[in-house]
Amino acid sequence: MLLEEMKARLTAASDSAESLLIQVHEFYIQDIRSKENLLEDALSDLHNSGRIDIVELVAGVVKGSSDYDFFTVLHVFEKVLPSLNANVDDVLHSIAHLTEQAGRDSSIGGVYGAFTDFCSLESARSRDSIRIILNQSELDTYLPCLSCSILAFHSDDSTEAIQTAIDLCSHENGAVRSQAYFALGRLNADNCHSQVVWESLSSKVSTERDSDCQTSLLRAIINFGEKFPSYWKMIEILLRTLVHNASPEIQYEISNITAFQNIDLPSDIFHLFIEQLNSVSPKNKGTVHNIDFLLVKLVKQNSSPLAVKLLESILTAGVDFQSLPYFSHELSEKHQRLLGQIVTKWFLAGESTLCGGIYDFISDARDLGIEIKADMSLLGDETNQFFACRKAVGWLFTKPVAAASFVLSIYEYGSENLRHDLEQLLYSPLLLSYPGDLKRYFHKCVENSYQEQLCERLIIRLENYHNDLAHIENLKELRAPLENLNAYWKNVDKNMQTGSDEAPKSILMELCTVQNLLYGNSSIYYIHKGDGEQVRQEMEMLPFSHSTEMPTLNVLDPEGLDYTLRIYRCERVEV
Amino acid sequence: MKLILKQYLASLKERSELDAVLPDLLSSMGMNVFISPTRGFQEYGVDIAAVGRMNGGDEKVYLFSVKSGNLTRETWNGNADQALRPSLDQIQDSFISSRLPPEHRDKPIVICLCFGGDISTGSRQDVSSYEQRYTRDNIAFEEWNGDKLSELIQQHLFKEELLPSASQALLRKSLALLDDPESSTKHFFILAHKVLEVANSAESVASSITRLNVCLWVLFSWCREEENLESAYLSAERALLLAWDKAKDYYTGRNKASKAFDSILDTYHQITDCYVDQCLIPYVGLKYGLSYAVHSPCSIDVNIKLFDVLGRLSVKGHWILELLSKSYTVNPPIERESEEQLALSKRLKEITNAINLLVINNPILLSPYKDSQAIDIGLALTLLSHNSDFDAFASSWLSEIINRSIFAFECNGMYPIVLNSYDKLLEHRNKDKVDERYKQKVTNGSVLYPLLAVFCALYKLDSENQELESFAKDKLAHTTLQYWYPNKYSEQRMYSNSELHGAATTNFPMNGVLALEYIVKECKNADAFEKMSAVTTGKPALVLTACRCYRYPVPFHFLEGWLEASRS
Repeated sequence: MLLEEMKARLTAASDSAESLLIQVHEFYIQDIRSKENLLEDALSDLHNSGRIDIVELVAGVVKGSSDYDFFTVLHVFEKVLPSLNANVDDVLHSIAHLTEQAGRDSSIGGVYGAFTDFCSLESARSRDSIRIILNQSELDTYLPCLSCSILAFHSDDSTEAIQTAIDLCSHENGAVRSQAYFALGRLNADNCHSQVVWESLSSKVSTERDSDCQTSLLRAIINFGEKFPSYWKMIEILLRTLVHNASPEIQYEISNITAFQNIDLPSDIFHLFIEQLNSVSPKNKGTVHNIDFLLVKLVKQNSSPLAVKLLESILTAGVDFQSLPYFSHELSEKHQRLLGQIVTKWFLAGESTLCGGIYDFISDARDLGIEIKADMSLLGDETNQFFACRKAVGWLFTKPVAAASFVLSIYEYGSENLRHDLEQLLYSPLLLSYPGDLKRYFHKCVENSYQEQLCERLIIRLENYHNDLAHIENLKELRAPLENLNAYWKNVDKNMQTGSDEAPKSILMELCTVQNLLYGNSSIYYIHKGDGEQVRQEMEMLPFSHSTEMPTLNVLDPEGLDYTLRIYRCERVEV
Repeated sequence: MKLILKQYLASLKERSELDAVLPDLLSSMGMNVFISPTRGFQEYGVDIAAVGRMNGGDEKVYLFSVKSGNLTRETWNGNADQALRPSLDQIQDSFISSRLPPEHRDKPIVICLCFGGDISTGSRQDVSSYEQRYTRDNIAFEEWNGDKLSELIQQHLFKEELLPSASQALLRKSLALLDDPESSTKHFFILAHKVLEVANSAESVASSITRLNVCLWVLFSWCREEENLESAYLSAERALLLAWDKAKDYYTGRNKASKAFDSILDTYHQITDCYVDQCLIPYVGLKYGLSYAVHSPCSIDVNIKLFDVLGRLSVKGHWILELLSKSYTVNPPIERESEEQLALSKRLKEITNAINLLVINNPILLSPYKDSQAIDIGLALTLLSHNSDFDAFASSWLSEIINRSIFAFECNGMYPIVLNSYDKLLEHRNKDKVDERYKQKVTNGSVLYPLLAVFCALYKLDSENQELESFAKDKLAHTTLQYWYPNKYSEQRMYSNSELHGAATTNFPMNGVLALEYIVKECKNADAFEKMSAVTTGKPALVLTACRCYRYPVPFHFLEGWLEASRS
């Protein structure tokens, strides 16, 4: 399609805002498919020639409209805004409207960038914008444009921009100060102005009490340091005041900076920041999420000890492994050696929070048969080796492959006596409880010639035991009454149903319409083609099941097993 | 009914099993049995001899040579132990001429070839030829096969007046439900009540118990065929107790009622021996073996069944101990033990060893879920107390039970509760046991902890005793710690479990020394025990059987000897 044709059709659709927006949406899709950018030019030409008013159009969009897509409009406006000849006042009102409509959706951020570009084309626009914003009685939706307006000042007007920002740093409204700090940290100050900026920022550290403003101040100081590295030493001293007893907002900002920003922070500041994250509350999910990425970053940067220290601290503070999915995945998939070190260290320490953390980690691992190898360099003498193995059995009892692999890795280096004890530990309670999973695992070990003799011995011992049990198989006299079994399964079903009802709903269930088929093994549905034709489809249902091996000893001797595992978990040894 | 009886007769494995029913049958036919069977011993080929008239005919002497199962070439004249033909030869060559009592010598003689099954085709010709060849004026031959025996049982033991069709239906239901032992036993229990309820004289008691015994044998033989003895075990236990409830007033040890009771007691022993030897002893040595045999995904089933089994083994041991004690009284082993005593000692050791292994290899027996499992623990410890070889084992077992019970209580695990039903135990496992009100409700009484305190004191487990005492003081203030003693109603109600009986003493002192003093005093006060018919007739194991069956604590009177010794 030619540009003119598009403009003509847009003009034709401009009778009503609705039809124009629908037409914009259609051309937006067409542009994506044809990989042309005609719409941007067409709209800006039509607006600048006065045939349509994009700014006014945008000021009327509704997020939930079924005729057009709000985010398409947002994206189109973001593209076209810098090239529009428009009144700053109108543009600000439109953006405020869009901000209100977008709510917490971060896609609005692109529009602010476009507004910066729009203002930067004429110095007057920035001044007007700041004035208009500050004159608003309801500032909230206009505020994001304040920092954009300051940052949009031309480099020739940098003195004015800096002074404006500094002035606003003393504004009575915290949200305005926050915008000002943000802008101050990002303004392209030259060496001449650096001292002024520094003095302004540093003076605010001791006086600023608003936590959001402190966050902006922190961000501004870090940005400033990045531009003027000679200030890092002074910044460190300043930060010790700012981040002391860090509020959750500051912790979040620190986690964000350390996890995602490519700022080359001096080591002392970096460590200072990491220390502030040690006491993160598990309730602060955003911060924990950032720490998840930070941990991976640290491991990749060969700062594993720092990562482990941080991990220990946050687990002790109550964060669980489930909140660290990225790190967990990376640890199990790419850093088995580090995993072995962590597990060995924590089992040896015997701290229940950390040992519980290992259990959580293994439980969440995608690989159900995850194996762990102990780090022998951490274990020392045989007492410690046996102690760590008992910890592994105690804490990872329900993850038998993980527990057995850990014990096997120590068995490899053990003395005769230790080997005897470990063999017994592997047999009972582990193998006796999980004859299915562990027998398969030991067979795998035999195939891989790993601890072949031991695994074969254990398998034979189990098979002999099962052969003995086979004689009891037909013994009817001791069988539990059917009535009891029925009562038990009824109880299990009830508990499963309750569990299922209380479980969080699958995201698929949230997205899709759920239909429950009462009969048959396939469902029929119709696909509606563009030409109105319907195609009948029949989809066969596939069975889906999941099974897990329940520990045998939990039925045969639950109290004994519980008691033993508790001993294994709680006992301590002097390291 | 005839088919049921025929199958029962055909399935009898030992000659002695057929011997057991035949004299009763002949007596009920109006015959006079003058030679009764002696296990494994034939008198010149004769197992049973009787004299009388059959179907209104002449008075004749009937000489029975008994074989089990079908009559084959092997059991007719082969190498089988005690083949029939040599026995028949012996009867003609020796018994008739030299052993037949003089008063019966002039009477016609019928030699009866008695067997539970049929004559096999292969031996039919030989048997018929033999009978024809040796039939004389005064000697005739009759074949009493399974068909004839079952017809006679039906005519004389199970006739409508004695075992009405409603009762026969109960027996059939009981046999049909062998795979569901609880239901099977329930029907048999009703049958036993019906059979015995009409007995009100020595004669009718004897005849009722004999009938019940045959019914029990029928059930037992069917259970053996089905390879599930559970119903037979439970039915035998109840039948025995109900039979004693009727026989106790007439029991002299010599009359018909006594013999009928002894006969059903013998059946009880055969069934319980079979149960213990086939289902328990072979597997007690295997780690978790019997726990595994419960075949349940739920540990509550395992727990209930294992304590049940413990009680059964212990009661068996008590019966053996009783027989051995009697034997020692009659024949004191001054120089050496008799063969009978040696056999009983060996059997007792086998049972006590089995209890030892059962506990060691099935550690769920260290954790009672029900307070009433004190009964099974009490039965076992009382038995073990008679052999100091087991002192170390009993002490460690006690110690572990105490540790685990306290641990479970403090961790809100499966601590012992007063509720007994399976549903309540399931609820107990799922319950939020932190709920203090619930905890107090389900532990509002206990016989378990007092029993443990007494045995701790007897075994001199001082630290465990102190631990238990502190636990009771700190955690069981709400619990009525008690124990049970038989009272004046017990004799009337204990064997039939018709109503509640006995007296419970409360405020049980948990201090070991005080506990022993307390129970010695109570045992003396509760003299109803000494007056119980089972005790006075030298069958106190009946009381223990009733305790196990109807779930009453083991009276401390069984420990009196030890109690006295420990105080001196």
